[in-house]
Amino acid sequence: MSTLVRFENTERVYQLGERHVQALYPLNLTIDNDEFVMILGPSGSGKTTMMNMLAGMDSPTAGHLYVGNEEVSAMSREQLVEYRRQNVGVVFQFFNLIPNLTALENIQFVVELTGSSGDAHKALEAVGLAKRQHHFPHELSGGEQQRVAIARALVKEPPILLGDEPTGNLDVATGQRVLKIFQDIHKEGRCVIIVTHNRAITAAATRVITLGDGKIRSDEKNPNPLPAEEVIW
Amino acid sequence: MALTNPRYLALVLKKVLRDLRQGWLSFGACVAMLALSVSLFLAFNSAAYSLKRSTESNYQKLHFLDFTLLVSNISQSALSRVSQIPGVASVQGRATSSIKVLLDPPSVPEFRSRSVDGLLIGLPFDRRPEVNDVYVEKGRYLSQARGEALLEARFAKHHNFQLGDSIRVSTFNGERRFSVVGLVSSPEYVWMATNPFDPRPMDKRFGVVFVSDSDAFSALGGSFYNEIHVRVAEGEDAESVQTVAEERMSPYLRRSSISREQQPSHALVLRDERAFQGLAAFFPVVFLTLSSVTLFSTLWQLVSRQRRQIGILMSQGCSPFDLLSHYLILGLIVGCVGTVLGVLIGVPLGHLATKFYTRTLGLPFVEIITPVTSLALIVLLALGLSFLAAWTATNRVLKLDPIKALRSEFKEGWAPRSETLLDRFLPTRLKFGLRNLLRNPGRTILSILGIAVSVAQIVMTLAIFDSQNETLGYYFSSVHRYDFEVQMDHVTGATSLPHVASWPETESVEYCLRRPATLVFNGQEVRTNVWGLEPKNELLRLYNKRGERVYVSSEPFLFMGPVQMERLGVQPGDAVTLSLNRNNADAPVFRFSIAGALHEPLANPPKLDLALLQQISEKSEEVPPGGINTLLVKAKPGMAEALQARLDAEEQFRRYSSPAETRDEVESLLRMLNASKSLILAFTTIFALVVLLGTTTMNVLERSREFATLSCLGVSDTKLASLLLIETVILWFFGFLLGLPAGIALGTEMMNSFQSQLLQLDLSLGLSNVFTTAVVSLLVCVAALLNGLLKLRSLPLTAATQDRFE
Repeated sequence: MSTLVRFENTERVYQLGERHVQALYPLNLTIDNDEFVMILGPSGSGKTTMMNMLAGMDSPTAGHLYVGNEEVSAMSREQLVEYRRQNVGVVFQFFNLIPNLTALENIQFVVELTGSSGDAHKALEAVGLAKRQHHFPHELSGGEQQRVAIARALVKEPPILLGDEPTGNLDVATGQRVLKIFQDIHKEGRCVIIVTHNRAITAAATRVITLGDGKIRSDEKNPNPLPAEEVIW
Repeated sequence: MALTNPRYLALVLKKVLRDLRQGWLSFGACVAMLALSVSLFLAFNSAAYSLKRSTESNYQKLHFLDFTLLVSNISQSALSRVSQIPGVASVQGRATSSIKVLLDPPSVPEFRSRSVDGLLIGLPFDRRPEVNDVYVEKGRYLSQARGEALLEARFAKHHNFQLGDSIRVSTFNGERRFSVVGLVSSPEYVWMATNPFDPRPMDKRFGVVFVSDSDAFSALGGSFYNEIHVRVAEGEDAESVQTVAEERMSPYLRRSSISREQQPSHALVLRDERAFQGLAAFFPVVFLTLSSVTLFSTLWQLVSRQRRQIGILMSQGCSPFDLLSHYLILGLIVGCVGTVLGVLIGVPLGHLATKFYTRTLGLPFVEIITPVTSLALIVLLALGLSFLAAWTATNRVLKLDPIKALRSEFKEGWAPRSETLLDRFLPTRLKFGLRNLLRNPGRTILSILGIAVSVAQIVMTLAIFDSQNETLGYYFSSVHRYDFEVQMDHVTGATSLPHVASWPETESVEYCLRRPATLVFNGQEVRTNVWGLEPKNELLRLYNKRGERVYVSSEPFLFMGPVQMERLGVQPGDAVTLSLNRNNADAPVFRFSIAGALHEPLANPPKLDLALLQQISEKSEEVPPGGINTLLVKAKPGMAEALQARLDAEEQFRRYSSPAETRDEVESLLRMLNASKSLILAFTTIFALVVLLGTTTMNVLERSREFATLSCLGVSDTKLASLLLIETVILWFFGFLLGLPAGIALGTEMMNSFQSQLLQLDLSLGLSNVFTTAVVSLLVCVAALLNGLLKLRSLPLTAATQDRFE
């Protein structure tokens, strides 16, 4: 067990015209490499801002963010691309699959463009969709599409898997299946961080950080996470 | 409809203005192009119309002829036979004779010859002519019965003749000297031309000298008129009056009469009017298309960006029609501003263009008018097209489902039903690029058409350039291989001439005989010169279409190019008759067969064997045996100047020309044409750039979420750019594939429309130009990608991954 993510007085302010919006107040937090963290909070709590910074899509306006030994907050545009390629896999609420590529091609495409050594077939097998590899997104259900998206995020074998409301667009049964995949990935030794406003699913994580108005309201460990199939919402 | 509510309308207008301010660059471009289009249409149209009105005004004020009867020697009293014809308003008899205007020393440095061809025209000195009066620009009209001359103003300017100068002309009856009392312009020479098919400017190589009737008679050697100029009364049908006049004067007619439309100057003025009208159509069409495409793409992008906004307003109860009207108002504002600007620029521009052109032509009376119908037409067209572009770009608002507009989902589009076998073998990136083309077929077709149209225009323009260069190269390097063509005033025995071949500056000399002849085939009569060439002619070579040398034969064969064959309506093997003495109706007639067609892009006279023509001439006219009147002389390398000095020193050789001069003239004539073609090339490039700029930017904006997602997954900007590049190259490939044959077809069509009784060109397109077109069009496509790439680089990832950015 070692510290993978470190927020040090990390702050994010948005300038909207003449108005300053403090999305995240100075934040101090560490996440270990073997944790399954759920960041919980209502709209405007700062959870998406936190995830965007972790994903290398946004940068803090003050303070530092470290992932491993690298300071993400000090990275240039090009370094951030490299960071995203090496360190994180992102799963979106609305899947964001490319509609005119098959399930397999969606993954192969990323493998090819990022120059990763991952195996698209294996990634698809890992999420149980080997038989649906030649299907286009419009031929897949919501849950299947999300599993393809997870496989696409995982194929680069990043140390951190980020999920932005990954079950938000799915029914309960499908959501449980997706949650189970995240738990399995965690069990394989990868750090999983999920952002959600759904308190019920936090029972599946090993740690729950609650945000409100850009500040940490609570940070609780969960030594006995529920199996995904028992999580009901 | 909510638009009838003034408060709502005020709000809509406020929003429209803000949208305009936000996208001022794109909307500004639309306004600029629309304004350009409207102004060019108005400028060219008003120039064409004003030119027509100005020439008509000149014709009216100076009593320009309706037709000319070419007669042999009739007296003043015989003119009454024409003036009595019902419908004839006025008649003017005229004595004209071909002359040489002597320029000693040469007055124009680059003009080598010491004399130029010209025409001596007789006018009454005691009154103004009733037909074809002249406008005195400087000096005065004739007032003495003898010794005074009026000189055509442009010729006088070129050769620096001033009032009071003495001008020498060589006539059939010897040399004459006149005092220049006036510089004039004539309605017969608005365009200085003697041949309606030869548009080369003749201002400096053809001098029109107006003298008193007495001086003109004296030059002709009699007191008879050889031309009757007729003006028809208002409202009368000129054609029927002409037919009656021809019938009545048939015993005196030298040849068929010339109508106003056939008169060389008027024919070329009509050609210019048509050219202006052509320009008035071409440029506005290009710019109107450009502005419509730009407006379409700008509004399309605006609607894409404001999709969520539209969804929100719909969810609040706004009807799609009200929302659509907002975008249509925006399009109409752009249309109105562009149109008003265009009118404000176009009207004075038209006036300027008319002033410039009428000054070049030397028209003394100018009428500048902007036709109201043209104004109304372009305003309606500009507004209509703006509305249409706005409607096409935005009517999808009507079909937009508010839920879909609000929800963040990937752009729906075409995806294959299932994977094909071919898909499995194609590289993923290429497959992705190909499938993306089908994702938005409308945009893909627009892009491919944009590229194809541009490629076609580039190919067409370059092909015409190639054809021109090839023709000029062939004509001046392969065919005309001499340095000087010396024309003598009379047919002379070769032995009585200075022995040019033995001059140290001369490399070789060939003798020719040129005679005016009448060729007849199946009742079709063509008056032309014929050339007798030496059997082994080297300095004026003949080739057939296959590029093989052809030699004149001692058999009765006539060799001519396709232009002459077409004029006469003959095919190789046909038998024609040839007679030489046009003034003698009883001149002997000779039968000739037409030989295989020569490769002659320009309308050169038919050729035959020199000895044969000499025999015929001896039988037909009073010419010495073995007579010649033309020498083709080639100088030794580097000795052209010295040879020219030698020619200048010989009295008989004072009139000569060189292919280099002709080439200069042709090239200066083509310069204008080439400039307009370069403009077409530039506009074409801009056209492709604008179309592709719009479609590529739309492509990036529509797929911003897709690109942002890939970026989040660690795909670099370079890799994303490469994806767009592949798509662009595929589009270019299909556009090029379509555009190349279309360009060749357009070029051929263009060439066919250029073919005239002077010129016939074959389309040729070099491989290097195909390559140039490919490279230029590809570069334009890549350049058009830049805006899309910039948009890609500045994508706000956090918002774009959720399709929330606007």
